[in-house]
Amino acid sequence: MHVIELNEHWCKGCRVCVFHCPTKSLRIASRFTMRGIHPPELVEAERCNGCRLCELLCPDFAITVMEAVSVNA
Amino acid sequence: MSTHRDRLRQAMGDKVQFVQGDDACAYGAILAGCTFFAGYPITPATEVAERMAEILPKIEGCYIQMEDEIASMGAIVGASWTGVKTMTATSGPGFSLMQENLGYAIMTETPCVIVNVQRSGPSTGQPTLGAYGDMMQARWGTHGDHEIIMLCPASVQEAMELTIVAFNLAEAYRTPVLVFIDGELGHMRERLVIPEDDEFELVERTCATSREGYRPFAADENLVPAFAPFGAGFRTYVTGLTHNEAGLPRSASAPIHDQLVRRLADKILRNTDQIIRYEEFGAEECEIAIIAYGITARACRDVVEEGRQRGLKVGLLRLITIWPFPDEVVARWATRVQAILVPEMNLGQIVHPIREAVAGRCPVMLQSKIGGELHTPTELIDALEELRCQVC
Amino acid sequence: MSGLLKLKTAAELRQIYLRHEMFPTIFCDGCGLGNVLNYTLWALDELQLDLDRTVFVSGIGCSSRLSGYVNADGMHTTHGRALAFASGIKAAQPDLNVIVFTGDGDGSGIGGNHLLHTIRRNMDLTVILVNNFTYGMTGGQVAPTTPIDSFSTTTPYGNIEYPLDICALAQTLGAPYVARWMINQPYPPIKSIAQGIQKRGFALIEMLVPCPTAYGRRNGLKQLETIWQWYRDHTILIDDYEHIMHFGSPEERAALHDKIKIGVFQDYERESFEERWATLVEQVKL
Repeated sequence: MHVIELNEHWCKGCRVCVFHCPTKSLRIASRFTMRGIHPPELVEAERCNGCRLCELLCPDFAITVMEAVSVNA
Repeated sequence: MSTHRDRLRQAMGDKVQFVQGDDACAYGAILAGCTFFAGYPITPATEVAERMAEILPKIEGCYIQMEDEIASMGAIVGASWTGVKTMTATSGPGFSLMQENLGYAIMTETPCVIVNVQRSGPSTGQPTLGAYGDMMQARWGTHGDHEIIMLCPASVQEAMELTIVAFNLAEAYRTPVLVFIDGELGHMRERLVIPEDDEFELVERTCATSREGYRPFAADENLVPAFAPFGAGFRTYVTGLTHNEAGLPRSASAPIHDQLVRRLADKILRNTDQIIRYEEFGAEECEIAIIAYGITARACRDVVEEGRQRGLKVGLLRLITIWPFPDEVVARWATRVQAILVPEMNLGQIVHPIREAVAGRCPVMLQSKIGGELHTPTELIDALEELRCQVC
Repeated sequence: MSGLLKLKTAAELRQIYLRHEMFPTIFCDGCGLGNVLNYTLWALDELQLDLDRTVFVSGIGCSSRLSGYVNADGMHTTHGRALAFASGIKAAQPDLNVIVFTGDGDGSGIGGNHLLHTIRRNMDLTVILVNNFTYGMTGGQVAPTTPIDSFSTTTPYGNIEYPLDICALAQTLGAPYVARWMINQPYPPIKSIAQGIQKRGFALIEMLVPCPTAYGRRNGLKQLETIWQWYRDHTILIDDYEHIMHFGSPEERAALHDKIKIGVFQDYERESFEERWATLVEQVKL
């Protein structure tokens, strides 16, 4: 399982990541960021294979793909 | 073991030489510590480049012949940011091409020296003959509000000495400095004595000492920021855009632009007492003054003597620094004399700031001569006689 | 290039290489200039280049803003003149790494003569030339690279001029390293920029970058998806191109006519200006 960390100050919501995601795991969120844009969000976390293409292709250094770590209570 | 300064002297040759004004500019640069020259051949300035090409590899400097004068000016500005002293040399057509990056050097506060061995224009004009037609281009050639420093030597010896001064001013005020001679002086041979190191002063740019809190365009009380060369870890961003004290673009800000451009002008205007140089002859009991500069001032010097023998009370104010303009000096002369003669090898350029400084206190007569010939003492005497008839 | 397996994360790159006060970038939605910066930083990281000894030089235009985003010494110069300034820096201080960001208009239009002579001189510079087919910052005028028949604000009836192939020019001039890439695939340009930086002498890496705002919208490529896909559809690896030219059917060969070749076009050794100058100095110095 993976998660994406988004720098919301830098993301401009351009959709390059969504367009290129090979597993179609990302989509544009309906919420607004502080910059007034719709950011990407990971909706299909199980489908994401952690290829990091979105991270490599982000023109704004805004996405980091990380492996989700489960913490036992 | 020989020191670096010994090597410079060895590279230049004999202490006393019979050389051209162009050679003298090159020697001045070498004595000032210039180790980088970029240029493009152009008559009558080519010999400056030739001399630098010969000397620089001998002293482990760098000579590079660029594809044009635009690139030459760019290269010396780039090289200056590595912390070395840099120079280029050209003539009118090339100086026209340098205007763009000259403005960049002013905006980015880059020390460098430009020698312009003037020839007649407009355009290709008279490549092998002297003129002083670029005086106003030097002042206003690059776009936007700015100040510039320009020195005008009158002899081969002085071409060398003022090139050293030009480097000192460039380093002190972090700005490009112009040395303006002309084709006659550039190609004229005279006796040149290369001075010993203790006979002249050298100024080095003030460098930043600590990276902590360093702001590359925050000025000291003298309005000049401390310099941090590329490669020293200061991570300076240099831009021709309007920038803040951190060096970052703020091109849409009126107050930042106002503050920056006024400081760039003020660092020169508030230090005119350090920058302005001139010589006075026969200032006492003077009725008619000649205000001259460059090679023209040489004939004027003779005319002062000869005129006095003929009963003309003539004096000479020889301007050495043309920009910033010594208006207070000119105004002082204007209060003491009845008329002023301004001989120029152009159709009238420096006569305008002179008239502005004189402000109607006395008549100012322009004596233009163009076509590549110098004013003769006879012509000058005739003009003085005419002027005396008009005012007395 | 095993280093690629140990890629840092974007968050780590941000911390190490970027001048945070310059962010967010000025670039439009769908613009690929940020990708060029991104790939350059990954290449720098792969080489573990000392940022204190690296200078980024640029001219004027959208692409020339890239130098300001890197937390290193940078010089944002005049339009077209980046190579002249960069040559001065490199010639005066050969042990600095000098990387130039320029555009198609900046680098091959107004700066065309400097490009020609900097390659001829073989200055040891890495030039990342971003080609977006237009003058973007001034609003989309025709550039030396604008495809024939394309529309721009100054070719409202279509461009009648033939475009310049910058890589072919650089090859002819003898540049030791010449490559062209699209930005849709990150790894080839990252590897190529790293190779270019390591190459002694002049290295040119042309990056084909989509400009939906100034170019795309006048040429049916306004949507991000459409213009990014256009680059996939209209580029071909030089290797594939040559294979088809040798072995393909006439129809397959004919289909190549509107394809832009990408890949490494030239890679060989040639002494740089700085090396030759150093040799000369050794011979004549006092």
